[in-house]
Amino acid sequence: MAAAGAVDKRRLAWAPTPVTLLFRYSSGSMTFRFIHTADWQLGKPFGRFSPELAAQLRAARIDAIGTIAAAARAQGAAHVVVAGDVWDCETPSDETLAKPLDAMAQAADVTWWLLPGNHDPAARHGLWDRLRAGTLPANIRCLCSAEPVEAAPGVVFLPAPWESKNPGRDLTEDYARKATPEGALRIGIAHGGTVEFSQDAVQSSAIAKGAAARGGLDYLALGDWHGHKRVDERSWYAGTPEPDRFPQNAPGYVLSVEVAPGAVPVVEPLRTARYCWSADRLELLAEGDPVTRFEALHDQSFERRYRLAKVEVTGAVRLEDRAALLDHIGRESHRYAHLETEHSRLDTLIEAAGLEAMGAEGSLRQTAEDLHALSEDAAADPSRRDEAKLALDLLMTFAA
Amino acid sequence: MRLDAIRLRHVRGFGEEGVALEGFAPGLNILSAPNEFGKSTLFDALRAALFYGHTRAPKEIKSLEPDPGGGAPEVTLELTTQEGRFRIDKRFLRKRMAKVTDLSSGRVVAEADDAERWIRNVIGADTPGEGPAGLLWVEQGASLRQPDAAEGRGEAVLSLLGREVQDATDGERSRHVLARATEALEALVTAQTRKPKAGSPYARAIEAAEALRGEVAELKAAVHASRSLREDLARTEDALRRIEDEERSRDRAERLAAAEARLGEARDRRAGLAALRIEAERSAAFAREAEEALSALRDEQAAAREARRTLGEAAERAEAAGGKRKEAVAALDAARADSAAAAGRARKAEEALAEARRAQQAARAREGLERLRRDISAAREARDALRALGPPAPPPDLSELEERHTRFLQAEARAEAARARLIVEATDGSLRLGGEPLEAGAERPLSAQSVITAGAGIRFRVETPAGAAEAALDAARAAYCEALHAVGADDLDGARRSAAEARAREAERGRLKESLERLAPEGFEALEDEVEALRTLAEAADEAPSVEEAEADHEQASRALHEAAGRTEALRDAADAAREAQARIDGDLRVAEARWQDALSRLGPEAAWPEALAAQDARLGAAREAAAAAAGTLREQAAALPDLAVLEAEVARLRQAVANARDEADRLRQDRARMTTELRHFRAEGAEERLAEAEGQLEAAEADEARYGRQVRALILLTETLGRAQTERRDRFLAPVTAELAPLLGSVFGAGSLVLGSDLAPETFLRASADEPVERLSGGTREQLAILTRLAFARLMAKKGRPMPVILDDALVFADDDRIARMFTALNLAASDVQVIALSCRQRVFDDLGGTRIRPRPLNGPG
Repeated sequence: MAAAGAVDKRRLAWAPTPVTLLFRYSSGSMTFRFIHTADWQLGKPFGRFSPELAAQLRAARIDAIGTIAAAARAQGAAHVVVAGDVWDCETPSDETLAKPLDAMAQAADVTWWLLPGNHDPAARHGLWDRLRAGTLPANIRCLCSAEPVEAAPGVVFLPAPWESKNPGRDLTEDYARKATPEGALRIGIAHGGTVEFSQDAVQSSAIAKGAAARGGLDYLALGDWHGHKRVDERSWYAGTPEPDRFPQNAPGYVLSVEVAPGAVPVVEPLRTARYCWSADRLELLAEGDPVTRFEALHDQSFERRYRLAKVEVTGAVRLEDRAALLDHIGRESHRYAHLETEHSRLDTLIEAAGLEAMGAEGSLRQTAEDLHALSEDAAADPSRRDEAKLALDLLMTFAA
Repeated sequence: MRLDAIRLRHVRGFGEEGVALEGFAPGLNILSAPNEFGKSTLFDALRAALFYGHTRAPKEIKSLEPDPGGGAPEVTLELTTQEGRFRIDKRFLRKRMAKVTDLSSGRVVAEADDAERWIRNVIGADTPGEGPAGLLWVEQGASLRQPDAAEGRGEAVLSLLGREVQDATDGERSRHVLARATEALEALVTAQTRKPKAGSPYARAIEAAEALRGEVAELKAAVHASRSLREDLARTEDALRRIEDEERSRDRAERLAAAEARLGEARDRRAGLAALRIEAERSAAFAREAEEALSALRDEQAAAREARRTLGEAAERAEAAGGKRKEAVAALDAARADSAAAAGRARKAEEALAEARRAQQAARAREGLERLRRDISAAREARDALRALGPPAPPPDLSELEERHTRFLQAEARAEAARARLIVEATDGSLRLGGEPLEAGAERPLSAQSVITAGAGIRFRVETPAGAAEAALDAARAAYCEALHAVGADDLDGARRSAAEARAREAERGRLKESLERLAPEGFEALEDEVEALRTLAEAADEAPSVEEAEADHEQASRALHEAAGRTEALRDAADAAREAQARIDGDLRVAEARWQDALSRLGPEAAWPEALAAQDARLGAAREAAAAAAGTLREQAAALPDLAVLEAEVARLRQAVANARDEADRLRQDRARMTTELRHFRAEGAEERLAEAEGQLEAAEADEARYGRQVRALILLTETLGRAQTERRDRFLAPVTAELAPLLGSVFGAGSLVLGSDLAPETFLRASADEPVERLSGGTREQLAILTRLAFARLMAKKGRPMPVILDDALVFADDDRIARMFTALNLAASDVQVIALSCRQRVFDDLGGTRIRPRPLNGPG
């Protein structure tokens, strides 16, 4: 199990450590290694959770900066590129703005390259103006202009910052027109969904396929997709380093990227998440112990106090097993950072043995049978059937 | 359990002596005793022994003490259970003890807490009001309370009702589940309306969601406002930047400077043009002056010539006027002479007229003198007659005399009436009264002293005493005489005559005075003066013409004089007019002469006038040429001058543009400062972060709201379903109770059945007439139903091997005679299976109850 906030050492074990030379020249060419991350969304409030948990989740996102800095050091990377949505909103509070800066300043050996994204566009008098108006730590560079900037000798970053919530065009289109010194590595940094997986095919600001190739890029560091994802051999989404929702992708990573002229970039995902957000479906059958099945859902890689889990229980289960499962979930929920279950689609099998606890023929038995019949009544309103299931659960609880 | 005996000591009024109730039968027992005997004390002591631990001292126990500091309350019960006969001994408050003794062996079965447990096992409860006793016993004043199984009171009954023990267990568990479900439901919603309960998690979730919706709306507005503000600020800065752009500012300043230079130059040129305009105007003025001078010279020369002509004409007219004036004066003089002659004639005619009028006056004076002299003579006669009348004497006032005379006559009449009367009936003619002969038939009153004579020698003197009437007559007579004397008369007629004469004299005096006043109003001297004056007038000569003739002459002379004067006056006017005409013409002549002389003085000799006129005409030509030249120069210069208004407008425009730019920049800077401050405020609020947080909270709150709503609906479904099931089952397993109750109801009410609730309390009384809720029945019926239900429970328990006595403490208090007899029958019917102990103070009524009489005796007395 990984310690919260620590870099997964097992995954980093292969890295050539320590990397004292950031640029390795081979046959007259050089290699540039950096950390690619995105979608920190600092200051995200997590208001749907309890105030305590929300505060912990907010803190975890700031703590992730230290984890990323450690990953960079471990990888021998002196640069961390954050490909948009560094902050969660355009106008974060001073505290939300300042604390991450302090965390980045603490990692003085790392240069942080911050790109405005759709959540925190570089609109006039937005947070980026506030950053520039203040005293920005020397190791923090804001990529608020779409002008190439030399990150290191022979390495040019081509940022595509968002200057508004809706730029209305594919900002990577400009890459082809941006001239860089002959032989320099061209690394694009952009934010936004790609046309490929954008649900909205006509999304005007979506990044078209082949953007890296058209822009003559050696690597295109992308942000917006919260899981890490390879778009093409030179284009990657890093995902968020600290998950913030229940997606079915792979959040909680940063990418260690090694770029060399003419070579396909070498990209290595590194786990950085403190919290694990999981969304699972538990399909139950009449046979088998549902409690055991539930327990098997979540491995031990994360302590449950760092797990936010959403479980939809479906299928069919015997009445007594259902009661046992719900009772178990009720007790287990206290161990989780957050646990929510949905079992309205879980059917209950009523057997004689299952009703033994209700007595042979008493009013409780009669009530259980009536409620079960209603829950199974195909002619009844679905919400009424759902209420009958819940009433049956409550009956079992009260009669226990 | 069956009660066999109760013994008390040191319990309230029973004190040291105590009381013993023994010999309770298995069936019906009656303890009938008057009030204050202590039946309720027996009831309370029985409950104390069965339900209160001997170590406890609640108020129910303390109330058993006879007196403070008295003996400790002791209660002994003997009872029979399925295990045998036992005695329970208990002492409370002091030297506390509890003991159970097996009466068959004398062995102490249990002591202290073990004894309490033993009792609890037998009774099935350890609290008053619980267990079968709570169900079956009716304490005094509670007879109307229906039995109910709440709080475990019906446990013993319920445990007997079902066909299997399982049923009873299910009943209790089912109630427990229903109670929990109801509790869970009512923790969320109200019992009646099922609306979210104030303060419940459900209500809080709804309130939280509502509040968060409001907060989200407000924060969205704030975020929107913040975004708009940033956009406005950016626009403001862009605008300010444009305004403050140096190149544009410089260009604007240069354009203003060039315009101002052009305007200055134009103004200078306009100043030069003003001088030219002045010169042109001056030249034009010179030309106009020359033209006017020429015109004036011409006019002056013409006027001089006119003056010369006028002078000649005036001289001619003056000469003619002089002739006319002389003629007029001569005519006037002649007229004046005529007028003087006419005046002389008129004076003479006037004098003649005056003379004629004086003669006429003298004649009239003489006539007047004669008449006046007659008047004087008449006046003197009147004056003499007045003097002859003597001094005026007013006629005497006879009113007093007349009144006294009247009173005298009245007194005399009253005296006459009062006097004796002499009536002559027959006389020889010699009869006389006071010398007056009396004829037969005469009747005379007799005075105070009357003398009657009859022939010679016969004389009667009749005296009558003086009465009041006579005295009054004397007084009236005296007053009358006094009045006569006052007017100087002898009798009334004399007085009346004297008065008439006096009035005639006064009338004559008046007439004379009037005549005198008329003839000589101002006295005789005035008349004499008038005579003298008339005499003078009358002395005029008699030879004078007549007045008419004199007046005709006078009128003729006056008319002639008037005509002469008119002619004179007309001629005087003509002479005056002639003089005025001559004076006027002389004035004109002098004026014409003056003008002519003046013209000559100014214009010189008339021969030089044409030359002067030519010279002036030449000056006019020169002046006109100079004016035309100046005007031409002015026009040329004016045409070449730029439009100053246009230049001024341009300069003003450019200056305004500069000022506007400055003002706009100031405004924009202020706006920028304001918006920057507001933006800082928005940042401080962190509205966007708070919005995201509130939206998350709202999502959670709405999920809670939905979850609680679903839970409420499920709980309602559960409670309704379970309640239905319980009702069905209750109806089924209460059948044995109903069966036990039926004969009892029949014995009292003839027919009918009771519907019992889940708490075993009667709910509805079903009769042939109607189904009635028990709470609406009369007090007596409710009381009887309560007792019958308890008896039914007790019968059922007895049949199930768990007998328990029914104790009724003054229970049948509302029953009428007929109904109480029926109840007695029912009690006897029930007592065949159940021990019934009835306590009553109604001794005579309860004599008919039957059963076993329990007679209390002192505890230490003979048994």
